[in-house]
Amino acid sequence: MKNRLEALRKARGIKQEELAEALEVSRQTIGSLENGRYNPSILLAFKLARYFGTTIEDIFIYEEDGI
Amino acid sequence: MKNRAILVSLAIAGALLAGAALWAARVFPAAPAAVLGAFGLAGGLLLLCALAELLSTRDLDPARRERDREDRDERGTMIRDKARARAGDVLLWLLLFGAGYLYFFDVPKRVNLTLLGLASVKLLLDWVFAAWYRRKF
Repeated sequence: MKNRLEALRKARGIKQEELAEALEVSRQTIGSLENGRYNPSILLAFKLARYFGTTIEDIFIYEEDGI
Repeated sequence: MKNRAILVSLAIAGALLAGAALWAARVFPAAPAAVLGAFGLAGGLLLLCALAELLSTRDLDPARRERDREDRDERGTMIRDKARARAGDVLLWLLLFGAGYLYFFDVPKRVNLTLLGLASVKLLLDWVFAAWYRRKF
């Protein structure tokens, strides 16, 4: 799933390690989230949205097939 | 994250179990040595494992902490679950293929039946766990 996670993180000057530590996940998970290889659970998505002070829809881009 | 209270309780329980086994061996010399030995060994192992976990410096090493987190966070758990499921499927096909392959060779029938039996147990466990998770979720 496409997302704006990397852009949001870099705009705030946060490293992947710092974000991972704050969300209690590994740096590899943050990396996989950013390049779209891994989709987060709803719980992690909420944690991300709360961390950045935004909504899940602002971070993750839901695109239906064929559209 | 360690729960120190639980670990200390386990260490004490292990020490008491091992101590009780030693005491019983002296007070009741006619008691089965194997049983007392098993209790003593279990208590000793419990004590050692609890102490090892209590004294572990794992949490102090950032690299180790990161590796543990990588294994246990949601992505790590998903990876492990998928790998285990895939390994189980591969083993199942190996058992079935092995049973079929050996059928044409001069091996005792019990070998084929054992392989088929193991494959059947695997399939049964798949069905049981799937049913359990369907009810749970």
